[in-house]
Amino acid sequence: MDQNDLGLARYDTGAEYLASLSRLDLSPEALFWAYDKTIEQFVLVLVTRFFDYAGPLAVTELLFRAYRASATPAEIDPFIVRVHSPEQRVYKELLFALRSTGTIGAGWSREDYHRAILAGDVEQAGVFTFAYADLLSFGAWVYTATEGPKKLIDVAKPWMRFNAKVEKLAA
Amino acid sequence: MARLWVYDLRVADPQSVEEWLQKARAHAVSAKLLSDDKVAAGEALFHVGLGTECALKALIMRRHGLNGWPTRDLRPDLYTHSLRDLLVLADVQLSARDPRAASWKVVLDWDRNQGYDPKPMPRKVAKAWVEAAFGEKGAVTWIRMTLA
Repeated sequence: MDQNDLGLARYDTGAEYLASLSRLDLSPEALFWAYDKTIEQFVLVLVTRFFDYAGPLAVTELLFRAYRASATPAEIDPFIVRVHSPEQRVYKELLFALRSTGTIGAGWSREDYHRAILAGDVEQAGVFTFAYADLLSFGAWVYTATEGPKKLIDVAKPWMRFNAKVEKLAA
Repeated sequence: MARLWVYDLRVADPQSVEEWLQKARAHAVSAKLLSDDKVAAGEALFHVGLGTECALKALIMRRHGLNGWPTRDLRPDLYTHSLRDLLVLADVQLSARDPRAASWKVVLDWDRNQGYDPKPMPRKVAKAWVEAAFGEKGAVTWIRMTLA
């Protein structure tokens, strides 16, 4: 497996995954592909405040239930989704790297630009390679990375909605 | 000239399924105790990882029909701390359809850069890991039931 070649198909499936999470009321602080050097495969890194609010087991359980209910793409087995907290260093390092260079060329939409890079049609603007511990990622592999809400109430309500939507689907 | 003695110091590895499970139990107790502590909660993950490792080694002994833990010379493949490698050796097939899939996934991620450096790990997060390993639907609990 070429660790630098994410491929358009995988990129598009990740974009579908983000859209499916959004339909379930999970708006991640970050979602991006990375190559995990330890397990030698691509992983989808999901950063969400739900991690600290409900705990990683509850979040992961709902991601598996959503997958089993076909609410997320069949191509993305939840075993390749790595869930993190925005309070963890991996996220802070990602934001720092993004602030340093940016990832989108002028006049492009994020998705079109990333797809053009992955297809080899354009060069990545700036030099953004993100490496943290065993993860290696690139600017074009990042779907979203934003500072999310920090107030408890702003996390509690979306969590309840996410929980209710997945439970309803799984019922 | 002073004579240098080199001793063959071996780690006293457990030698039976029961001894590995005993070690797993000790790690479970340590993990639970630590996860209650505001400062040290994050250290519970270390015991989650080691406890799961011990339980998987018990399963490997049973499934491979071993009557003692082989030396490193005989079975170097068994001398790993990688839970993913041990899962393969124990012939455990994971599936997203498995009701315990989430517990396994969380346990497998125990050392995947889960640090909160410099902040301490919230107790709720540490307790989730303990539950994923040693709780009712936990990975180690499943191994114990399989071996019973």
